Amino acid sequence: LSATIGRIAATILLVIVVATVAGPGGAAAESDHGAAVLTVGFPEAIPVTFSGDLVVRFHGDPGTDCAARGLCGYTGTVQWTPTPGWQLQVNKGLFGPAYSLALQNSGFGIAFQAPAGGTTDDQTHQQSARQGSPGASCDDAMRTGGQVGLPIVRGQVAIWLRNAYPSIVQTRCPGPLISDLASALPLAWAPLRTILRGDDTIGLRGDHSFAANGLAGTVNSTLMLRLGEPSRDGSTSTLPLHEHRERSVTAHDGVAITGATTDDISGDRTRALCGPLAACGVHGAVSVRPGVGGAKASFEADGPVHLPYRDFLAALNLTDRGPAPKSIGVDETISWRHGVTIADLSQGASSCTDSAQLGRGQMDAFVRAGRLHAQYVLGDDALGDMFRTRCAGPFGPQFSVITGTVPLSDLTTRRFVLSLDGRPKAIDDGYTEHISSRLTLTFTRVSVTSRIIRFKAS
Amino acid sequence: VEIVWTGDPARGCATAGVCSVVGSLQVEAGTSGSYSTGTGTPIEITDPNAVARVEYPSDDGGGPRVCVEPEPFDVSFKPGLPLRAKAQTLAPERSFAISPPSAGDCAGPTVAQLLKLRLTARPRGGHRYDLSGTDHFGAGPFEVSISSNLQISVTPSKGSSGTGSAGRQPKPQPELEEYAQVDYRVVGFGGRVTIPFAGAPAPGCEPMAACDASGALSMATGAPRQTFRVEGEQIVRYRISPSRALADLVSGRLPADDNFEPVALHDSLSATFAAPGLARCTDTLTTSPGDITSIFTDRSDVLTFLPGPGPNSELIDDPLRTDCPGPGSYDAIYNTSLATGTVPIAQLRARRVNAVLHASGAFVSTAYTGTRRGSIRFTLIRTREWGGTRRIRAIPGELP
Repeated sequence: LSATIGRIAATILLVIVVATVAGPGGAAAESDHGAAVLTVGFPEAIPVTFSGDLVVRFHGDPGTDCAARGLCGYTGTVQWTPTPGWQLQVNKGLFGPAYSLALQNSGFGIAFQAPAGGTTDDQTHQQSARQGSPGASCDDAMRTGGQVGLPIVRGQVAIWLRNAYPSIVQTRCPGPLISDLASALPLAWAPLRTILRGDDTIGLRGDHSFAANGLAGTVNSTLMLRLGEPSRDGSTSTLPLHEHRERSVTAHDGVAITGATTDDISGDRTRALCGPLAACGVHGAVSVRPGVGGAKASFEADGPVHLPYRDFLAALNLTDRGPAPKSIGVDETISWRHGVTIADLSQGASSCTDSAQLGRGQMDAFVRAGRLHAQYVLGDDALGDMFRTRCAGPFGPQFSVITGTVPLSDLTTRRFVLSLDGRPKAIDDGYTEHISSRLTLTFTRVSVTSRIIRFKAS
Repeated sequence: VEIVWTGDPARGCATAGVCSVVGSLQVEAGTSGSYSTGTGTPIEITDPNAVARVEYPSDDGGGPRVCVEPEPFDVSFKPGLPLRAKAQTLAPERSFAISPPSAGDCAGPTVAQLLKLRLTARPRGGHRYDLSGTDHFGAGPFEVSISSNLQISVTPSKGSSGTGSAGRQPKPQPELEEYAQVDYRVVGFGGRVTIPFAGAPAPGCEPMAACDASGALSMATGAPRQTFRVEGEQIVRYRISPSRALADLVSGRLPADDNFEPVALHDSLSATFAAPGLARCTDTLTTSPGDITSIFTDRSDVLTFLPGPGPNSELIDDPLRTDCPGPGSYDAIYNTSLATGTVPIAQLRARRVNAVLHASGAFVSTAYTGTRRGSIRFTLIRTREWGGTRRIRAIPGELP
């Protein structure tokens, strides 16, 4: 086990070196003596001034069936204003894409402000179900959008706030999701070569309309990015690279996930706390269902190529032939492409029923003390809080973990079941929350594959 | 920890115009907090996602307006005794209030007033402590109530120690240092800076309930009798006479140091805020002491006026905040200073030096727009000057 941990740690270290330390000058190359070497430099940072703002005005839209979701009575405005402290982080990978770019906000050194990319202000008004009644307003503000990944396609860099994390429209008030606005958000393409030179201005201005999933409206952007001079750090170091060969044996399992993590919510009883969020009297549940449509698990054993195949099967606990050599390391992952969050909330005569797609997700798995353990971290997915829908509601638990375990002997069968449960605590402005979580994972062996891999490593 | 404030008639909310104003700041340490503790070390409670929310009642029959602003919370509470000893009241450590409780640009108590917050810690055995309870206190025209259900569980960790070598340090060498100093008495300090402001266009003004608002901040400044020093030093190869050293200082050949031991100021801050449908708010506070920082360039001593708190202040407070809504420092003087003035170095040996710091310029923030006006004047009376050359020991290339 310690060898496994050591191998994983070493892998992580190498990945970290490649992902965060290798700079534009970093590359695998031949040295003067003909030996392979790894040259690592430091990442390049380009200071960025982000100005302007982005305003989303929305209303319930019968044309996209607001009635089915209970969104017809809503009108609102969401405004995102970037805060100072942005920079463009440039990393050059060695084995993956040539460059990876991200806009990041450090946010440090500014009095009276916290590190964040911008402020999202949301004001949503809900018409009362009773005629003549003034209705209710939800007012919220969040620090959001501290990081924006910039994909590169054929030498062109896409600057699109759809990729901002956390989502720049994420608040506790009802309103559109970032996926609803995607086509209306400003998108700028700029040549990679131009971006790396710095000293340029990129416009993200534009006015567009959207209509999706019960809400319609406009997106008005006056955002501008001003790139400064790149900071070039010439320091590099060189590490010798050696060729390695390893055997990799992988057990591929299909996984069916059933169950959910359910957040039973109710508005806070104190008027001063629930009032500004229009949460007084709200009750209902928000459920997160990961792995809808199936998941897959891979149990991968890597080790010296001269070891027999049966040792790798033993390392994967596919046989009961006793302990495997410590020189074989095992990595377990459980991942899925889709999930869904479902909200069913009511407040007096009003109700809101909505669902939102969750993106890719994964669960950590590891072997300890003769058992397979799995843990699922509740919190954010790639876009932000996984408990968000178009309905109002609190943020879910952050970085809470639910766990489950089975004896390793279960893995020798083609089909086994692992259950995870927990009751993580959560508390958020304006609401009280009670969370219960139970997920059942049914693993079915699909195949076991073996291959020899060649790679260079330091 | 729930912090709720309400305008209190018994505390003069009618005069301030904040009766029926209700505000809150919820600190959720359980999901986002980080803590470290030990015998006598502070307990740090953080919530980077805390939000100030304040409802203003309408005085014309309309619905209430709501002001919201993210106000991260990061405050350390230092036990007077080891936590395990007995129940005790914990007060915020002002010097460790990195991001103290605040109403932001909304109406509410100032940071200094909110730092009356107290929590009671009761040991529950097994490194667990109960900080739940309620409290209330007066803060300007507001009554503040605190409700906590905070529980702390301490995970003891094994201490680590290590030895290391700092490496070989270069040895100080004997050097000659030219130096010159001029002391002044600061007299005749006075002036006023005003910041008239208005709500920015919609939708920027909406989250702060600032649409169609108008008002002004006015800061009257004075200073107690005190001294101000200009000094400089540099390594030289030959002895320099006292008169030459002083001449070098005022000619710029001897670089003067930036002065971060500033002139301490006493400020009085008045604020007004009015918006259609809302009661007019007025407030006057004696604010945290301000400072004057002097930054030298080749040709002139640039004196920059920064309203408190200065480098020596213990509290990160916003010196433009009162109990009324309105723009704060982040809006009105972000990336600049409230007032600046320039004194040529050549004047520094004069018997009297008159300095005028002018406030100027406009600001545009998301919720507010405004201008900076007015000036601050004072006179420096030279009381002492001396200089010359002295022997020192210094690491080559570095002044001691």
